[in-house]
Amino acid sequence: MAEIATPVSAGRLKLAALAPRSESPVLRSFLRTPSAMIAAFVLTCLALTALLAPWLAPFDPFDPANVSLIDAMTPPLWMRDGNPDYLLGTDDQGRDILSTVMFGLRISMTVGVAAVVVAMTLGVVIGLIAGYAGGWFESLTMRIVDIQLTIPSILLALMIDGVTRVVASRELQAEIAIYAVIAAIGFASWPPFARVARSRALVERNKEYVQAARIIGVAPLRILLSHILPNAIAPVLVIATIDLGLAVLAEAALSFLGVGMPPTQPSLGTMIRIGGNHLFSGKWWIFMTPALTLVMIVLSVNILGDWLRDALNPKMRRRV
Amino acid sequence: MASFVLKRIWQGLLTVLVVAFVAFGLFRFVGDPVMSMAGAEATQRDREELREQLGLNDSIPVQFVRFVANAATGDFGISYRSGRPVSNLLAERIPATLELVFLGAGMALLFGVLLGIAAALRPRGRLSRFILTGSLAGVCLPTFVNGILLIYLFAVTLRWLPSFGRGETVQIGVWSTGLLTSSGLRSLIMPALTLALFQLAMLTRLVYSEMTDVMQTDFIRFCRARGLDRRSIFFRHGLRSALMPVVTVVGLNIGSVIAFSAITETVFQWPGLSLLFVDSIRFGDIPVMAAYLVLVSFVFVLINLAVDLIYFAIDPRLRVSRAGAPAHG
Repeated sequence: MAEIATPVSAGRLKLAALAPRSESPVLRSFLRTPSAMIAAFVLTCLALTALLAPWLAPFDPFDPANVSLIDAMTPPLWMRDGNPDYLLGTDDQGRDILSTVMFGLRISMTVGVAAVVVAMTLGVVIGLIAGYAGGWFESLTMRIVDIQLTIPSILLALMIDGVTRVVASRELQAEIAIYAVIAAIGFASWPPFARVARSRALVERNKEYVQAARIIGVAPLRILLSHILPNAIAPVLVIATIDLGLAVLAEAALSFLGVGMPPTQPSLGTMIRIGGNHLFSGKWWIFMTPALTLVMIVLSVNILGDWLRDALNPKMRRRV
Repeated sequence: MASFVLKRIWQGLLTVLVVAFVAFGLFRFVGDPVMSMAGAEATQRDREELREQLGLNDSIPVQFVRFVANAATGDFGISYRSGRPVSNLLAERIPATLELVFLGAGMALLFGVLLGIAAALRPRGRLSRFILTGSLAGVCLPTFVNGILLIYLFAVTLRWLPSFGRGETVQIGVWSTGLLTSSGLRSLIMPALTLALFQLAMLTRLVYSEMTDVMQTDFIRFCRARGLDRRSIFFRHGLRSALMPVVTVVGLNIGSVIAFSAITETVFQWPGLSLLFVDSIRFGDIPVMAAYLVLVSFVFVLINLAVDLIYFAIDPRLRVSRAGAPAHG
C-alpha cells in the first residue's frame, strides 16, 4: 500500500483501478484456461437448470394430470414415432424425460450441495478446534480421521444409510430418504476438510498476529472465526469443489444400488437404475439422458477441481 | 524398521477394534436383535430364553469382549434374513469377490502403468494426447454407467458375453472357482473390466503426471549429463522414483476397488460378498452388515501394512537409515 504514493507506480495504479480484478492471479489463470471456462459454464448451466427446473421444465413430471400411459415409451423427437410434445421422449410411465431429468438434476444437486455443506461444516469446525486447541481433542479427532480415511466413503455412506433404514419405519423411509442420503454422504466425507482446517490452524496459531490477538484478550472463538478461518478458505474451497463431484456421484451410486432416493423422488441415479432395465429392450433414451447428465457434472467438476488445485497452489504438484 | 512395523501393526489392530466396536453397537443397539431373530409370534418366554442365550443380559463390556472373541474365530451370529450362520454365507461368497477383485485390480495395475508410461514417453505426441483424453473419460464415467454400457454392447447387441452371474463354477475344496470353465471365464470378463476401468484410467493419469514430473528433476538432468542412454534414464532411474507414489495410491485404492465392487456386483448380479452386503442393507440384515464391516476393515489394515512394507523395498532412502550407511553412491 505504501507504493501508492510514489509517482513511479502511478501508471500501474491507474491500470489496476481500471481492471482491478485482472490483478488476481486466480482469475487470470482462469481466463487463460479454456477447459476450466467451459467446465464452469457447463456447471453454471446445469446449476441454473436445477434451480429453475419448476419453471423451465415443459411438464411437471410429478403431477399425475400430465402423465398419460398411452404416451409411455415415446422415443425422442428425431426418431420414428417421435412426438413433438416430448423432445427427448418419455419413460415407462409416460413422463417426459427432459422434465424428469431436470427435476432429477435438481434432487441430485440438492443432495450434493447439502452433503458438501454438512461435510465442510463438520470438518472445518472440528479441524479448526483440533488445530487450535490441541490436546486430547486433537488426538481423538485426528485418530478418527485416520481410521475413517482408510474406509472408502461410499461404503461408509452405505452403512449409515443402512442404519437409518433399519431405524426408520417403511413409510418414514421414503419421507426421510433425502435427509438420510445427505447425512450419510456428509458424515462419510468430512475427514479431508478436518485435515486441511487443522493444518491451517496449526500454522496460523503460532504466528505473531494471532498471539498478539490472544494477548489483548480476543476470545478464542473470535480468533478462530476472523483470523484463522479466512486462511483456511482457499484449500477448503478446492476440496469442496472436488467433493461436490464425489457427493453427486456417491448419491447416484446409492440411488443406483436402490438404497438412495426412492422412485417417487427420482434423482439421476434412480433414473439410471430404472433406465438400465429398459436399455436392454432397445429403449436407450430412458437411460442415456440421465447418464449423460451425470457424466457432464462429474467431468466438469473434475476439470474445474484440477484447475483450481493448480491455480490456488502452484507449488502443489498436479496429480491425476 | 521393526519398531516401525510394530507401531503400524498396533495402529491397525486399534482400527479393527474401533470398527468392531461400531459393528457391535450396530448389532446391539440398532433395532432389537431378539425381535428380529425370534419373530413377532414368539412368546415372552421364548424371547427371554433367546435373550439369555445370546448373552444380552450381561454387561456391555462383557458382551463386547465376547463379540470380539467370536469375531476372531469367524463367528458373527445368525443372519436375520436367511437364518443361517453369517460365517457360512461369507465363506460361500468370498471366492467370487476375490476372483473379481484380483482380476480387476491386476488389469488396472498392468494396463494403467503401461498406458501411463506410453503417454509419458512423448508427452506432446499424438498417442499421449489420445491416452490422456481416454483416461479422462474413464475417470468420469461412473462405474454403474460403464457397466450397463458394456452389457448393452457385448451382451445385448453383440451377444458375445453373458450379462449376469458367474457362469459354471468348479468346486475345489471350499473354494468355488469360475476360472476353470469357459463360461466362468466369459462371465468374468465384463465385471472385471467394469471394476478396473476407473482405477485403470486414474493410474494412467497418475503414472503420466509422476513420470513427467520426475523427468524434469535435477537428478535426471545429472543422469543425462553423465551420458547415460535415454532408455536407461527413463526406465531405470525415472520410472523407479515415479512408481513410489503410485504404490501408495494403488494400496489405498484397493480399498476403493472393494467398495466399487458393490456397484459392479449389483450391475452384473455377481454372487459375491459385496452383493450380499448391499442386499443386507436393503433388508436390514444387521449381523451380515456388521460382519462385512469388520472383515473389510481387517482387509484394509492388511493392505496398508503391505503398502508400508513395499515402501521399504523400493525406496532406498528408507533403507539407508536402517543400514546406517548409504546403500550405493
